[in-house]
Amino acid sequence: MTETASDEELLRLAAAGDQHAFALLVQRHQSRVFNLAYRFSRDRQDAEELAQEIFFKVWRHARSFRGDSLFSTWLYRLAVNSCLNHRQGKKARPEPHTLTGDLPAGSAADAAGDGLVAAEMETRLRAALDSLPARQRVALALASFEDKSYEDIAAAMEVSVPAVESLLFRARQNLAAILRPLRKKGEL
Amino acid sequence: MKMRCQKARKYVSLAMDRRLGPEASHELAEHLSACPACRERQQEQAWLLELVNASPGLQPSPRFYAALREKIDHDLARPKLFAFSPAPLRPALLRAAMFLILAISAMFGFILSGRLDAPAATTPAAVFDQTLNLNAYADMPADSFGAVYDRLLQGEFR
Repeated sequence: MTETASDEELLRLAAAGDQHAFALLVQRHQSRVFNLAYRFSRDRQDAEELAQEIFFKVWRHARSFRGDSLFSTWLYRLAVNSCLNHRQGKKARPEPHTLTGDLPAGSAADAAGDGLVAAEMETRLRAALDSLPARQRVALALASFEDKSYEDIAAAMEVSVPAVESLLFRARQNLAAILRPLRKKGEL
Repeated sequence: MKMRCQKARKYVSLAMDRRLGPEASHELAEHLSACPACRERQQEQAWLLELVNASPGLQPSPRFYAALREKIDHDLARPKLFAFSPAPLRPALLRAAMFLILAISAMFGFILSGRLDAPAATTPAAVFDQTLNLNAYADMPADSFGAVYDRLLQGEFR
């Protein structure tokens, strides 16, 4: 029965102490939460800790979930706040990001035989993303990587839909401005 | 080319997320066909989208849930305020504690006000001394508003 239960029902069971329900809830959402955390933190270890912190908050505040929104909206709100707080709490580290070690084995880039080029592009993209203001980055991560609607992003970030439009517009303009010289030089 | 470039670029961003209505899409297409600079920006945004979409998704480690469970178990093992009481009673206990604090504050308020209350004044001059002793008016010219008001308070015009 639990496997087919809705997220909201699983959360209610988890709040009542059902560990199996909580494990199932984590299993359903861990990949998305981890990826969102990864867009913010500088490495896998950090992302894993951040994602665990987010699920820990889910467990802790499960009783306070009133059910007037979807569980996923509530989860993303927690995740976004945690990511923004995490970013504020951390001092910027100057070293560039290398995703080479994180590329999945047998990725398209490797198959094409140009894994190094793909890794280099990924590194530059991540550096450009990192230089965006935190809120623009959250909006972009939710829209582009999580494929969330503007309404979902607005709910997760606790802003209006026009504010999301504006954040995404500015994020894309800034990203384009950072990467434009590389594109013109043919490096990307 | 009626649409301004700034608006067209906003529309490009919205179009990438499939948020542009048919009328706005038509307006944008019209603008793009006549404006090479915005066309270039649109191509740039399409390229960016492709670049971002090509970014690989990752999976957390297989120990993810086990590590999370350890954190939760560790937290459960820590002694907590109100840990002695069953969870459903905790909101009631919190309310009772707040009520107690309010009641004690009010009691102290009554006691202190009783002690600090001076005997009620009976003459206008005594009332003035207890309440509106505005010495700031003392050095004012005799016909100034402040001085007249001061004399009024002291019952001079009764």
